[in-house]
Amino acid sequence: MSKVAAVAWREFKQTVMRKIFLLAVLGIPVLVIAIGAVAGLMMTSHQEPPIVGTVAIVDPTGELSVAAQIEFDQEKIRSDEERQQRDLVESATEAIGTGSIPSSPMSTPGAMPKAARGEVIITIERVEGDADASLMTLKQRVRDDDLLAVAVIAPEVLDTPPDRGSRQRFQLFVSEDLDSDHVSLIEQRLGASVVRVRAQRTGQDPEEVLAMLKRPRADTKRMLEDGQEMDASAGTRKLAQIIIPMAFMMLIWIGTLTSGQHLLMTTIEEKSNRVMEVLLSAVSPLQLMTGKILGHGGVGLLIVLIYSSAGIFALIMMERFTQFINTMDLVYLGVFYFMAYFMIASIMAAVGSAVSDIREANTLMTPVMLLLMIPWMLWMPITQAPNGTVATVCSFIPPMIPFAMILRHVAEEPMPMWQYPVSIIWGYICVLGMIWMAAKVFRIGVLMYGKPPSPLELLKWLRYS
Amino acid sequence: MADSSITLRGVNKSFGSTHAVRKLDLDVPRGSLCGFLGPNGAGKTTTIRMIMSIIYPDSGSIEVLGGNALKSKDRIGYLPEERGLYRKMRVGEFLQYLTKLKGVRRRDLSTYIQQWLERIDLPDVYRKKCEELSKGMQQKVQFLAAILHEPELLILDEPFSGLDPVNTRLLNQLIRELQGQGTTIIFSTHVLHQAELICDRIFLINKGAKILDATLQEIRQRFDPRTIVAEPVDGEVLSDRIAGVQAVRRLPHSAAFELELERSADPQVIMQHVLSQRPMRSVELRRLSLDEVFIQVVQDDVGSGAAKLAREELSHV
Repeated sequence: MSKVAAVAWREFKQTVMRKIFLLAVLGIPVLVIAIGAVAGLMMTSHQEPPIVGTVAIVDPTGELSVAAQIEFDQEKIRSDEERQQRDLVESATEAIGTGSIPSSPMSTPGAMPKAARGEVIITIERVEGDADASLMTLKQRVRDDDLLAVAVIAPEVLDTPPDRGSRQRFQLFVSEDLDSDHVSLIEQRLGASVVRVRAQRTGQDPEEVLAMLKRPRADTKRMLEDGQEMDASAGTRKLAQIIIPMAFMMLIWIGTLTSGQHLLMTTIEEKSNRVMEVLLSAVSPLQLMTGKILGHGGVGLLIVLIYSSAGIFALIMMERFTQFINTMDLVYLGVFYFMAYFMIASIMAAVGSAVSDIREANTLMTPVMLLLMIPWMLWMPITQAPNGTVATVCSFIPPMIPFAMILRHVAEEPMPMWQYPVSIIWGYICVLGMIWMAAKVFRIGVLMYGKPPSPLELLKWLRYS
Repeated sequence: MADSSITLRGVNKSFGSTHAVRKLDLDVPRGSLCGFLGPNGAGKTTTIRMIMSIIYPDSGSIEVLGGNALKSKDRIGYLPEERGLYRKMRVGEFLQYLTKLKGVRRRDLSTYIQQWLERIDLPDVYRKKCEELSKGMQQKVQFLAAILHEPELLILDEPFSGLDPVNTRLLNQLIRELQGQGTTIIFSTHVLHQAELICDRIFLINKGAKILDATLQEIRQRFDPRTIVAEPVDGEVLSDRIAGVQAVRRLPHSAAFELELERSADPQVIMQHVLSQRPMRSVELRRLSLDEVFIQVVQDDVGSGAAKLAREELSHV
């Protein structure tokens, strides 16, 4: 046992003490956060260019021009944008606090969480009379940069109540150089002007109408059998249904894949450096393989601990830890991490022992990598239907078992209790089988050099005593 | 056998359709320095790997140091033919790791290793990475890895390949010291004259089968060519009319002559007679080299075809 421990400790130490490992494990999350912060900073600090000009509106009645004068007022544009920014910040704060995700920041006109706008001075020019007669001249003025845009709004668009059968569109001709954000601003303000005219025609206060259009959010509670109430509002559901299962599966996936690849690389290194025979003079192939698997299992566990601790810390800081995670989740995370790791590690150890260098390994690794991509392909189907046929079947097929089970365990919809022990026991029986097969391949492969074995030869190795 | 370090009985090993080792019986006396010899592909490394329980025989039994080979690993030192080091690991760390794998638990391990490094003229390499060492230095480090745990049985597969004469002498001296301390040593090589210089017992193996198993003394008696080589000072032809001499031949590209003796002739008498005839630069009783013994044994064993193969093999040495 002490030999296995010595091998395991060397493998663990040699991997985690490398600068590249520390850089990868600690550096990548820091890098992602830094890139996000810089991008956010750049977006908020960026100021769009000012816009000064005239928008012509073909408006036979004159109502629309008056409404547009209000909507395009410089002060109103500024105050509206400030209010939208405030709403957005509140919405984001609430989303983080409750685990919610802002449902649609684009649902109100001009609600763009983006750069501050420069000075906007737009004057409205009303064009009376027949649109067809003056349109050619107006378009030419747009081409000559005399106008920013020309809007042609058909009278039926202003009808009250609006005709539900019509397309409810108006025409807008803009200059070639006009910034797309400014085009959006003009579109949104003209749309709001139309709503304002409709409200006036029905004798209502346009501001009240616009305020009434704002939808309230539901504060949903799920009634649990034990008498408790669980927050189940839309944002919370998204976090519980999508983000948390993905986070758990990703933890297992990153931990197993990273440590599995280290295991593969060190095995190939020992073969190509010809140190394998020296090691085998001191330990048996099974002891060596066990030590290597345990050592790299520790590496993977360290990665899982670092990342999960960061996640738990974030949830605790938001006072939402107990809302989304319970102790059993962490216990199952451990159970399924080890199951996934031993399955992947046995494959990696077998591949590493069977080849002589990394180029040969690539050939055998292609099907293995495809196998490892399956959890990602099945993530959405399992998340959306945790008790569906796909999810249930995957819970009993190695190496899918741990990935499917962790997704189902943290899903909102509870799975039948009997599936936990059956899947876990069956999963660990499969682990033993896979390790047994890997040990057979490892024992023969570690001393084999030259042409890598074909799948048929690998099967033959399994039959050797 | 109670006084044997290694006992093999009827050991067979095949890889697919290739019979690497066939019905091999072997007894390595405790404390001996045995040469395990044969051409490339003879089955030496396979046999050694079975003794080390790195691989297992298809049939037959192997007893190492009085017990199961697997359980005796910590009492065996092994320098494989394929040299291997962790390139990025420091020398001291590498030696500590292998020594610990051999079950050594001593508090002063780093001091002990440093002392040994000084002993093999590598006092400054403890903190160096293995990849920074020359090939010869790496080989000495590997030799050290095989002996640091003070094994009862030491198996050296081609230990001198790639070493300069100074380091060859150093290793040779260490091997003799270890034997003097009672360590049983198996020295595997296809360079037969190296074994001839240090071994007291020889096992010859060819095509997976043992063809010779005897002490060096026994081999010399058994393969006595009964030939005297004499080189006259004047370079003149030696007479073949000497009692007890069957034939006299001039050696190619030499001024020396080879005198083939009759079976009943006493070599000492004939040598004295030759010396009394004319002034001689040298007169000696010829001994067969192990190379020649090997060819002769192969000829006897499997006929001229195999002997031709063996000759070709040895011509590349």
